[in-house]
Amino acid sequence: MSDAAMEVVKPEMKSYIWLQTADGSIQQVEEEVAMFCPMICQEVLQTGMGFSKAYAISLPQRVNPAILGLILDYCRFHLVSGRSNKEHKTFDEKFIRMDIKKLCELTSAADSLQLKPLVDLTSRALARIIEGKSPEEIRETFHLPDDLTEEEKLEPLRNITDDPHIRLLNRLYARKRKELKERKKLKDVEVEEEPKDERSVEDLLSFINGADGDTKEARTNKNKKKNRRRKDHSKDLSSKNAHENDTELNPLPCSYHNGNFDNALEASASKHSRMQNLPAVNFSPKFEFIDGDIDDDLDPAMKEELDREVEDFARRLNSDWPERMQILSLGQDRRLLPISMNSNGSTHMYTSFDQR
Amino acid sequence: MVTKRGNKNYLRKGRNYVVGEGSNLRGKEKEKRDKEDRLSNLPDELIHRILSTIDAKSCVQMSVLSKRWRNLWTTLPVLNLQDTSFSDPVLFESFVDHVLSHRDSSTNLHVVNFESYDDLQEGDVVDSIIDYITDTPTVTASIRLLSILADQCVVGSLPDLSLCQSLTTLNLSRICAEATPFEIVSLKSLYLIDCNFECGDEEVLDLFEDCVNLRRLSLHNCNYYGGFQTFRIHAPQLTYLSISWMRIDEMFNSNCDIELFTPKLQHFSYSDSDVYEFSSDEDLLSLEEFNVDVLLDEDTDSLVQLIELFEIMGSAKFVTLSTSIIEVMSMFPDELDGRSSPFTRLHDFKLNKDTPSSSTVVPPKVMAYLFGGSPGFWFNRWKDKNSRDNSEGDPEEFQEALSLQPFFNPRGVRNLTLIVDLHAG
Repeated sequence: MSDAAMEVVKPEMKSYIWLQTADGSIQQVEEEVAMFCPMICQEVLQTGMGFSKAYAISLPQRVNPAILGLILDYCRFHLVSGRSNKEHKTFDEKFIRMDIKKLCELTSAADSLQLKPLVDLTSRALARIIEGKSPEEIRETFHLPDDLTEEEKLEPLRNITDDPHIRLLNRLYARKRKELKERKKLKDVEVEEEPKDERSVEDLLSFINGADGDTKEARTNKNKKKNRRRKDHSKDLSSKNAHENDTELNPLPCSYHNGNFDNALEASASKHSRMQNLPAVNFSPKFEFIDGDIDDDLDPAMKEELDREVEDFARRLNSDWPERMQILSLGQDRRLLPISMNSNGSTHMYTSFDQR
Repeated sequence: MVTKRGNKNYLRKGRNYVVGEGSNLRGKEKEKRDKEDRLSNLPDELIHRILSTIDAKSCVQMSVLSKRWRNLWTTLPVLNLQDTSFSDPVLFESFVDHVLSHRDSSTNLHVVNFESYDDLQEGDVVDSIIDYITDTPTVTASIRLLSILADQCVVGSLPDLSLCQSLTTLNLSRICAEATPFEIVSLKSLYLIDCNFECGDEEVLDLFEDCVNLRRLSLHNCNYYGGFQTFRIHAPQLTYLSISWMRIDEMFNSNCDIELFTPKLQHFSYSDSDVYEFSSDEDLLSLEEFNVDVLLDEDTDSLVQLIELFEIMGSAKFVTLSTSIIEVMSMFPDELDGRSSPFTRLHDFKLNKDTPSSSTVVPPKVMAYLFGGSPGFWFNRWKDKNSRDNSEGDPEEFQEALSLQPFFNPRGVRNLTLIVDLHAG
């Protein structure tokens, strides 16, 4: 079909690929430039199309001619070998300077063409734009619809069970969860139900002591509890020691930061910048008490309320961790669809292939 | 900025264009078109990628933006948990717990970056993160990179990480932990920085034997409390090794030796104020780069250790040494007597200087020792990168120096340069 077109007649004559954008317009592009885009490359190799105007490769909907031009400029530069990293970086920095609307379109188009380096570049640029902005600013910049109710905005992280003290108790929750998980004996007597459970387990143990199977888990839990306690004890000691020795220990001035290790993974997680103070929603109130004295510093009225709340938690916490997660997610407004991160993850997002 | 979005918009634009009032109407039309959500075209996956360089607190706060964004943070595959935007470590801990407990546990989590410079009150937040990772099956299977910087935090759950089948990179900074062997089979890169390890009484400490796929290992400024005599690095797949400022019981313990079993090693860097005794059963034939940055004492003990290290690293093609090595070698030339040049295939040699000063003079005997064993290594230029005048080296002097070397065999005209590099600390 297109073998003749593939043949290079003269040394100077280039091979071209024909591309069709969603608006119907067709253009021809140097083969090497077009093939730089994995999606186009794949199409050409799989279908054999693209070597004539009649059989142009249909590009995904998100790629319009103007954006395609930009993308091809990017490809044209980067496919040339022998350029230094600095040259590439300088080009990228200049290339990315455009208005936000275009940047978003470019990100979208690059994603649909599976041009990963460009997706990374544009994503990072968008991230730089987003961070440091207040929600209002972000909404304005990206024209996001302001479609949440005031209440939804105020309590973005409100627990589904609508517990008014959820935030205040999060810390207690964290500690209690762990303690109950390990079946550690609590120092406080506030959580009344817990000791009862403890005892029942121990009763069970004493009954079926020595038998395999059932008690194994309980036994290992108990052992774990013992170990944890010992560990916690030594932990406290060593952390105290660490504090005392802080002035004596002179850590050498080198501070290897995250940037030291290689970016083997897509998320170049080593190079995120620090967040400025976002004037946005403050979802955790300021705690004024310190760890060990947590219960003593609360006034009695609060304490009573806390007792009740913690009891409520304790009941919840007694179930296993996975069950607990289910309880929390029950009744959630929205069913969250799992997003699978397989290598072909991007392909099944597009409807473009239907155009074939 | 108008982009082609099909013929419809063009027609509409034309219809609305009226002189005088046109600008208003056209403006409104444009405004309407511009009011489109610019990020709606991006799939969640892309939004996640964009957010992957932004800290988790901001990501969670973005849940107020719009309906679409409300729960986006619960499926983030990258969590950047940093305490820098929290005024209170207690708030930070509470936040971490909240994020983990409200996260959609059926979605993949690939990267966790945890950074805490404040004194963590309970010290359990790191353990709780590891617990979350190892208790949530989807996360255990999908976690690839875990980076923890927790100032003076005691971490107890490290051994649990052996459950993670996909963990390829582990970065631990400033933590305190028991020195239990890292049994993470999938691990390819391990970076331990500023950590304190509590070791037992064993004579030989081998922490990496079970990381059978380990490729890169970096130990920087770590302190090991224990009585071990040998620090063994058993890593058959290791290609990159960097050891610097290793301390035992907070001191440089010259009795301790470092045993290498790293047959595939390609890059070795060492930096300290003294040199440990290194040993290696096998020749490191794949070695390419060898960097040593030490400020040697002016005595022969450290020098001897260093020379032994040179023997092990003799196959290196690209060697960088600090100037104090040359200086101490020059002070004790007798130590070089009878020793053949350790480097057999030297390609490139650099000197690292901490401060810009006049170029270091390399005496002939030292030159012969360093370069004599590499056939074809030809002294080309002596270049000081930061000085204007390039003083040409004297080829005759070099030749003379090399002739002192019993094994020198001048053949080939491989042009190799001798560069003096200014090393920025």
